[in-house]
Amino acid sequence: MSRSTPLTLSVNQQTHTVTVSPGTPLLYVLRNDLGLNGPKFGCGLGECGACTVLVDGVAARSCVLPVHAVLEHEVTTLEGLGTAEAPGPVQQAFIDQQAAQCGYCLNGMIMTVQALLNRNPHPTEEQIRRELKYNLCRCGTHMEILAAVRQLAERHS
Amino acid sequence: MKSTPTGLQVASSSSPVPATWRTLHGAVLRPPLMQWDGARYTGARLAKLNDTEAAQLTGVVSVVRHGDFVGVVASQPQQAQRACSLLDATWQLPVDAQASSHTALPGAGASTEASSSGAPAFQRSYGWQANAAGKPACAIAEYDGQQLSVWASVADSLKLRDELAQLCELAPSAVHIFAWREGDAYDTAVDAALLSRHTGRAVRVQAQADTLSSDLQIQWAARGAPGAALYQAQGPYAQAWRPSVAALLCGLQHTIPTGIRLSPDTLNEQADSGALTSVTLTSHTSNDDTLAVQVFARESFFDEYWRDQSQDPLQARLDELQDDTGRALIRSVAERADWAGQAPKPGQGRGFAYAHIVDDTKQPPSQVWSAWVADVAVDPQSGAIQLTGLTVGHDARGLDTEPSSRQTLEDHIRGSATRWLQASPSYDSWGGASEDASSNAQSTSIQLAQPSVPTAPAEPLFWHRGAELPAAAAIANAIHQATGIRIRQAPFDTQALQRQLLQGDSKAFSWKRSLAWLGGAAAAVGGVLLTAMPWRPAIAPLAAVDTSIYSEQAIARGRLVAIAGDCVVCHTAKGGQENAGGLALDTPFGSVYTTNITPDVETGIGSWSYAAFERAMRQGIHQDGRHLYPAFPYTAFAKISDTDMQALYAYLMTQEPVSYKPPETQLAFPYNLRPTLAGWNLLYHDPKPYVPDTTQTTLWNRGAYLVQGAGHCAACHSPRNALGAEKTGEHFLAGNVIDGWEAPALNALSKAPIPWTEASLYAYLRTGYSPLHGVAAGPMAPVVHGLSQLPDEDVRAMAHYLATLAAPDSNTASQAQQAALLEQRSRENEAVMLLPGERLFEGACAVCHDSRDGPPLFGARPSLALNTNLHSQLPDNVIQVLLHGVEEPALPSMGYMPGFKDSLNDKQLEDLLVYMRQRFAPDQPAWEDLPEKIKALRAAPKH
Repeated sequence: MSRSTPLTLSVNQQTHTVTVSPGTPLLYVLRNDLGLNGPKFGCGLGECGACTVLVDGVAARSCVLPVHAVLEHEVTTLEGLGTAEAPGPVQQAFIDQQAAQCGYCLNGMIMTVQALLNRNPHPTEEQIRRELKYNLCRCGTHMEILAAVRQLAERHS
Repeated sequence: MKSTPTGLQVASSSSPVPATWRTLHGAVLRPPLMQWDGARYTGARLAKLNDTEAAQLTGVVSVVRHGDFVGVVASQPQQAQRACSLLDATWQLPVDAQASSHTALPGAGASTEASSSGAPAFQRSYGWQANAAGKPACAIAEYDGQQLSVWASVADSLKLRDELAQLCELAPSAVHIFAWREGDAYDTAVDAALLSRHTGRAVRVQAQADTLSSDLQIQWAARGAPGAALYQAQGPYAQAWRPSVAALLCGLQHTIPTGIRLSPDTLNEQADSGALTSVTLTSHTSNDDTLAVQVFARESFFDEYWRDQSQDPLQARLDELQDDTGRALIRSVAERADWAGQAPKPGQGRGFAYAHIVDDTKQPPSQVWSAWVADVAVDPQSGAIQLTGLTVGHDARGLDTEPSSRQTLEDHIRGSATRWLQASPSYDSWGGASEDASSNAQSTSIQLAQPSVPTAPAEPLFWHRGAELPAAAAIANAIHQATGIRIRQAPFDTQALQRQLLQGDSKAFSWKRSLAWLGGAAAAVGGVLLTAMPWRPAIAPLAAVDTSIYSEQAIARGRLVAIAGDCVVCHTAKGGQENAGGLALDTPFGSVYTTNITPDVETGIGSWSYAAFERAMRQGIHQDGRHLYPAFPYTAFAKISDTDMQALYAYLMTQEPVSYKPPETQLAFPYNLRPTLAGWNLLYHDPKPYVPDTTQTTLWNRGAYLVQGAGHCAACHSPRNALGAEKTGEHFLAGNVIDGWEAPALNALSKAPIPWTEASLYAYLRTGYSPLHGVAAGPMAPVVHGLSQLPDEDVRAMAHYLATLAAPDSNTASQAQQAALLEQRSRENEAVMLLPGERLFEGACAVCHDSRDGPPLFGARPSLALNTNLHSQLPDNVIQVLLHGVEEPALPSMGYMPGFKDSLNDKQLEDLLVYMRQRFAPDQPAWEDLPEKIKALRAAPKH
């Protein structure tokens, strides 16, 4: 394993310096070193989407992304979209539509939707479904999740 | 919060660039032939565009088409590039380009003498390498519905603003230009602005790293009967300034004042009646360049044409020219130079050139006339060309001139002329650094002709830069007279010229060849004797090496040689210190441990003299006389030139010493008997440095030198015989398996589903990613990482050379069509859907490698349908990647892949491999012996 090195990264518009091995998955650094527990550990292989964060506004599976890959980039986690008191628009839409059951997948759902809206503010039903195709959810709140995204897509066009 | 630009340049502090999370990325598709006739676009037109495949690619936001301008906006740069490579565009070439073949000839110096009726009787084309140094251009634009903001580095932001206003149908006050980064991003800024205007989003465009050089081509032709010549300039630059490529493609008729231009008066007629030449693609050419290339082409052409007609070029110009001031100036220069006097001796030559420029923006228009006569002499020993004399006359009226003393002016003229003969980059030079030509310059005598010299000696002399324009052509014309070699490309490749002279390709120097051959034969005999000696003496160790004699330049150059040679990749153990050795290289004969090459006296090479170092590098002999195993590619390093070898030594000896003793290499009998390697060397090793091929360009030779020498590409990519020697000839770079990875064939045997081109090779070597092939991974990743530190010219040279080894693309479909077909086939392949691998693929792979559905995740996400490894005869690389993933990509932005060795068992891997082979390479036979291969590679240590 490579040695621990001080690394500087930008997360939610704040600069952090962590001393870790550059190959450490970003997810571990976010949760263990920075205390950002929005992103969840699911499969550890980039398959389920629970760990999704944004890198320069694009969705990334943080469990398979080494921390040194994002040194030059801007990372956004669920915490960067809003707070419990003041949720961001995507978070609010999910609340409005009661899209959570166990909630474990929701970080990934919300972050992936945010990435979609970043590049396409008014996606079609098909585009929404495609975007969320690889975010796994076992509870089955798929319909509520879709309703939340529709609500966002139909905002002030 | 936007400020309005008020001057030529806008303050850099004006506005921060848009946040990365809302910035999309753009890429543009350029026509295969771009031309400009001075007023409008005359190149290839977009006849048909099929963007179905590109528009459906995941992450693509929009395909933008505006006239002949086509671009893609996507969430990540790699997706935009990949979408562009999937755009199926049909281009309609201009009629005259279809009729004559010269447009197909990319290189300069192409000459056609077409005999068919209507075709010009005498036609030449001239090239000009625009100064494209610097980083690839980058620009960001954001259109918010009313205002357009552009962040870019441009020389003239007012011009950019006016052009954008016209192009985007906005008031100039609604366009804001902010200085951002460095370099020349004019074309890129307009690309970004157009894409942003069409999508209403912030768009960032990074100019594509393509191999299309910024070479300007100008075509000249003479029509009609000899003696009654009617010249036709087929150049793009009737004016000195051109709009951006994007604006031309959108059909913009520019209405911006032209500024300084070349007077058409030497043409006698219709200067811009015909136009047919490619416009520079990668850089926005400066005014200086556009004028210079026109003068060079025009003045070279006149010289060629009139010498072909057996007429004196200077006299013929006087007869043709209508302008009285110009005629008077030429006469004055001819007289001062004694042009009509004695004929030049063998090995000497003189050339003439003239220019007349006009600035229309002044009232009345201001003008500069200038005429040059250059004298050159060629040294028969070295082939070196010396500028012996210059006679210059110029007349400036109204243009801003600078007063100067006679001495300053002479020095200035000498400097502006001799730079054309400065040593050009040679096959073993780094970074294009040219040697100082001052010794050459001092011996150039300068004569000033009337009216440069005022009648009263006390009056100051005046000079205008426009008067330097004829220098290049005058020298090229003189070189032609001295050597018989016509130079049609500027700046001149003086090294190639020198080689050509020494090879005896010219009339004056044929006797040189036999002598050179004798010397070569003697050296070859010596080489064989040395190589075959089984016992070699030790070279005495030095207590300390004096490194103070090495200059910073030498060390910096040595660093580049070390990077090109990837020393650190093999000479660093996992987690060990750089260059301290200890990495085990698996060979069929056993493990060979790399040595410590830091300058530590005890454990490294600190006591090695240069002689010992060079012997090791060229002949594979340790300082103590032992033979080194050819796992150390001295067979390739022997090709390194002396200068580079010394620089490499200087670099290595000035690094930090590390005390570390790597494990001893212990091979089984008989391979442990190192003296037997003497016989091996006799059979397989040629210790001679690289000898350039005189029939090839400097770029090609540079590429060959790097690929065969320091780069030691063949060490992995050439198959080896039973004794571990690289096979040569048709087997050169024909592919090999090394360390459990297949190094694919780079020659005509390549199995790439879409043939590699020079442009795709360059993109792959420069960025680690080619949209039509994939990413560099495995042992190739550190190679690309090393290359990323080399000068751009070197990577271009390697791509150029490698492309000449590959078989030409015989497919009649365009590469975009081929790619689209492969993608479609892989999606619609129903035969695989019932295979057990389908569900494994959906679960483990599809989230990243589904090219149509799913979110555009961060990273390159290469297409599997285009992947060479899936089309290869061997499954090794696919198995390696599935087991271990891509942990260390060439560049971090390529993205990573997790390994599946702990989550998929051997049977699942086999199912997945069978499925992937059938789905993505259905025309290839199924892989054999998969279970054994999987087992073996799983057990093998990871590389």
